[in-house]
Amino acid sequence: MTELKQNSSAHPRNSITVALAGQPNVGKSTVFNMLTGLNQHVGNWPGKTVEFKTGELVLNETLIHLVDLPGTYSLTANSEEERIARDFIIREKPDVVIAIVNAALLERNLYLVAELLALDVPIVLGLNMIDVANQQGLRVEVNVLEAALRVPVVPIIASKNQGLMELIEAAQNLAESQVPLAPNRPDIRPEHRPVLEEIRTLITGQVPQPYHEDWVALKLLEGDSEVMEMVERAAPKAWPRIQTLLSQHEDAILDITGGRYEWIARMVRAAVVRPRPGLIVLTDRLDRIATHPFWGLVLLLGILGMVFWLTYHAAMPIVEWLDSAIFIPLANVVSIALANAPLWFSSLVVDGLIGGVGTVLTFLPILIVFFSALGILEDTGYLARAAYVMDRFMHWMGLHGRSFLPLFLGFGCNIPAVMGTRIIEDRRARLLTILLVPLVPCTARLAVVSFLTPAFFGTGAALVTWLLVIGNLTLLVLVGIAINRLLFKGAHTAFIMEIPLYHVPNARTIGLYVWQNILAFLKKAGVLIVLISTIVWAFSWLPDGNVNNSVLAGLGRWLEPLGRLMGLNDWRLIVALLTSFVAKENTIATLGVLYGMGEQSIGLAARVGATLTPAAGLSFLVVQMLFVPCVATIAVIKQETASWKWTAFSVVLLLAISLIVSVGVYQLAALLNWGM
Amino acid sequence: MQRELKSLSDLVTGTHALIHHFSGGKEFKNRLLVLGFTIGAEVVVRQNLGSGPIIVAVKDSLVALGRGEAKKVVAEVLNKD
Repeated sequence: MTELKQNSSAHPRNSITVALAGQPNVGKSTVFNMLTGLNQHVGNWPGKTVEFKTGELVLNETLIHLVDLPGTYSLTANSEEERIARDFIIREKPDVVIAIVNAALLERNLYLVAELLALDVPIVLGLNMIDVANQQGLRVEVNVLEAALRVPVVPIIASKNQGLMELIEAAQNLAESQVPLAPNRPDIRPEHRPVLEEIRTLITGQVPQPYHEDWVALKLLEGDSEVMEMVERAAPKAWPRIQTLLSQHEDAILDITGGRYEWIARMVRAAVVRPRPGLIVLTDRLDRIATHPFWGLVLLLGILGMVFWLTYHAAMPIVEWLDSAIFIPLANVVSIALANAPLWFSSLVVDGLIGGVGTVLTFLPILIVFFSALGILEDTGYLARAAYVMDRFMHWMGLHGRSFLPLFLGFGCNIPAVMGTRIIEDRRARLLTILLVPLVPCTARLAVVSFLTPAFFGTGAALVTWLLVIGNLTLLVLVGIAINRLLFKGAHTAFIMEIPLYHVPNARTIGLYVWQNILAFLKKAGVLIVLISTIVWAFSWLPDGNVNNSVLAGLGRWLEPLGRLMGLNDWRLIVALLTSFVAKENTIATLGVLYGMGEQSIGLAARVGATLTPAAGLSFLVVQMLFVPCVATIAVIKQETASWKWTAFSVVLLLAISLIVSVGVYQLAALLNWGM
Repeated sequence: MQRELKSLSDLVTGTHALIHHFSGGKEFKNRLLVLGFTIGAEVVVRQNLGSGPIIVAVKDSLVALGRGEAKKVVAEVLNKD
């Protein structure tokens, strides 16, 4: 097997479209990333909320458009991803579909292939993770499998960039070959053949282009809701008879899926050499801890702790270095250079722009640490174990383990977390998860807190941060239980989740994952942060350049009675909190602008800390951790719930929670005479 | 030999069983079928702690099922490991 080398200097003569299909956890995204590298475009499927990735590469003077289809177990209309994948193949007619399967899970993975074959599209099978299969004592005879399926089979190890050249070449050869394909296809069991034939006859000539009548008939018999709706519309006359037939054969799906698996068993029987029984593989050994009811939780909390530790010990020093070695000197140099410019202009550049850009850039180390950790946990297969271990706790809120994943993502940023709730099929469970996401402290909030806590609490900073996080998560559970009981009447949804085999994470996949998330942050949040810190600067400058007389100060002073209830006697803290509505990290930018007038020598956090008692500091951190979601999060909540009502509910809910809890914390501290 | 029919949730860790029928709705059934829980398929209960979700091995893969879901899958009990 040779390594794939991209050759972008060649001038392509023609172009083909290749779709990449595969079940979840087969290493499909690694194949995609290895083939396209940074030549990829990430967006959404038109009108859909599912991620759409395309990429390009040039091979033998052919430009290959690679489309990464959503990872799905089958092509039935069970989920939006499945509909997208099959619609793309049926309507866009890619020249070839590369189906990626995990050699260690061949039978289960071939189920999707059995469905792809029914779509009558040229297929190349990429037999991935042959190294993992070998470690388990499994051996797949490629030639035997190829002969049985009658489709090209290429063994690959995507994570080591082996065999990918051969795979893409096989796809190209298939696209350019004139020989009609005759792949082996699963057949339906004899007892259902007559009814399938009758349905096929009933719909003849009535199926809209570009659907195949054979496929439509089969999907009808499977009880596919989308295809049923389509036929009801397209063939209203035949529909009553079809409906009668379908209700008489409601259990046909059992036979069809059973038949497909029997066919798969025949295909792989001669091709797969099984290991001797009793062989304990790595997954079994690791799962003794990872899925253990007690040690699994310890491991999960330990991993979360390690991510925080890395944030403090690897990312924060870089953040501090950026600040002291780059931005403060830069601000000094610029203010000297602008000494003769109007005062407002110098202030705009130094306090507004450099401050804002600095804020954005100093977040990057934290985000890199965070997304790397998340990428590694996902790529190794650990996140599914975390979902399994957490399932019993999620049940209290009427949710299941699957909701844990988006909530966990919320630690990185609430925006991908809200979008990540798409993996939850049930609308109610999804809505509840979306409402709970803002209670997960995102990196931006954690960064603000970890920036301020050391100045407020010195050596106790890590403990206080940990307590704040635990506090947020406890509230999340309580709010979840309450919403589920009161609004959803205690309903519950199915928890069915594959637990993938463990494997060594792929650096490129994780690198690209981090890169794409950072890019999204810079594009969406970055611009907004710079913009807002400039606006905040303007509000703090207007009307006369004295911050104490500014528009913003007026608003802060007006809200001071409310602030006093939570121990915040300084209007600047209230203003900082208000601007965090636009973006959580603005708290720091605002404090920087409001406290940073003139002097640069003393650290901002220390200066803020000096004005607050420990109780007031704690109250400020609490309200910061719970305050209404940032504008970008609210925008995606609206996008994902498609409802202004639920979006408004989310904002009001969090506003109420943050005010009640922080006032409660301060008043309790006052009552106990602690930290006053 | 007459074999016992039991819900997957009632099978102790290590039990081998053959899928017999489902008592859930259409979508629930479809999702399980696709994952390899076809009628007559052999499954092994890999972890059942008596509460919370269980882990089942089917077609060489591992699938976690919530307790409620496992209750709705009825299987014919084979021997233990």
